[in-house]
Amino acid sequence: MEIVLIINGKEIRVEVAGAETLLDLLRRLGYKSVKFGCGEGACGVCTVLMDGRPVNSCLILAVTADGRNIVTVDDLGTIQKPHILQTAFVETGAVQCGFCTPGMILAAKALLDRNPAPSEDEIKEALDGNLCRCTGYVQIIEAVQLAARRIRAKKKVSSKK
Amino acid sequence: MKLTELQRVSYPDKVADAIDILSDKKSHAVAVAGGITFAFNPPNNVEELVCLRRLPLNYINKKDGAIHIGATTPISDLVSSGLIKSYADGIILATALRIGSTLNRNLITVGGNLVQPFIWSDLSTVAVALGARIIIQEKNKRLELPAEEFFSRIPSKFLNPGSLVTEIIFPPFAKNARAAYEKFTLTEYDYAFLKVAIVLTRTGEICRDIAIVVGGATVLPQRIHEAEGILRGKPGSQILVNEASELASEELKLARDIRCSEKYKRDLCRVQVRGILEKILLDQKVPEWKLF
Repeated sequence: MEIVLIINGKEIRVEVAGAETLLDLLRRLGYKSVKFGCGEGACGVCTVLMDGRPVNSCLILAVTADGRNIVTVDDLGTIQKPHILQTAFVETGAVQCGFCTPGMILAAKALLDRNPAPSEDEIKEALDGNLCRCTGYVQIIEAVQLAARRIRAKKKVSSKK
Repeated sequence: MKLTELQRVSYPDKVADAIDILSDKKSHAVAVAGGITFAFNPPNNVEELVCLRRLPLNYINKKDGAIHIGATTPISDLVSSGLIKSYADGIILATALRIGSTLNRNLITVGGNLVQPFIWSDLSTVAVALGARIIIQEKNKRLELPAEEFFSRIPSKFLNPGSLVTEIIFPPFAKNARAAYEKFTLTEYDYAFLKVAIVLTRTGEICRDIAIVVGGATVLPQRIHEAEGILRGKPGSQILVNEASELASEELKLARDIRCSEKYKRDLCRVQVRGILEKILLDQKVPEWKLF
């Protein structure tokens, strides 16, 4: 069955099998930043933004993603020009093995897009579906707080201009 | 790999169009909303998926004090809704916040959580306690069932192929009413051992009416009528609260759970019912319990 969806701003037309998940499709198309973890919506390493909301791509049938706008972490920044969140994760040491990091960053981005000044509890709630087995979460929360401060500062500067 | 027979996915934008496709026996069509159930366990013999996401059923409204929620509203919208936060002591918000993780709540829909009341589904317990009504649209008629009747059987087994749950209506919450919900899990979004919702109305210390509903013990939520009878029409007291919670634990029907014994669940039921009643009937200060 053919579907058309937008992945990282690019329109993609692709044949999918009935039971293929969005996760499988994205990895088949080369978006390897979207990881396979538990396969049952418990770990969050397969997180993508679908129409702006973070979701587990392992829980979505690809055939039902027709017309959706999908964003993976690849769309956020580059090595030369990383996203504010990516920089914050590096600076606070919020990354160890890195397997959970793409999902963490996307869930954090969705939070900061709708709430640029989240409390610690709101950050914990937004990231409650993204598990990390290395860092212990403290630095991850610090990274989101740091990014939030920088995004607010940037907005303040641009509004003054 | 299943769904091998799948021929097409349709995206109707009118409820009537969705019902037309679903009620056509030749179409071998099933409705899909959030779609988690299908991704977990894709069925066979399905030729068409009727995706409900373009139907105008994503809303939360207040009309004459009642809260109307469209069936395709994601659970995350309940969490962020001011109407839900301010309704019925925040009992729906408390329930929604404990449904899966944020990532899951962005996919799970209100209708999906109601129609497929797995043992881990949460809204059914609160819907029965609050006396909600479920709206079912069929080809030529609209049904409105009290939640207690809707959940007296497995909904997906009695709903006709062309039936669509379109809305849930939570009734106006009286000024003298109190409500609370408690879900006991080992981790933040694990399946509940048990969940208890209690809604009552009071005049001073007299308990005028009460609904005690326990979920997670069996697939369907259970209203504990005998325990309610002990409290109805009487002034609240610790003795009656103890008696009602004891009776609730005895009256509860339980499905087998590999995680704990039947005795453990009955003890848990007694403690949960007692704790909520102490809070909303006896006005005792109960320390807020938080996982992290």
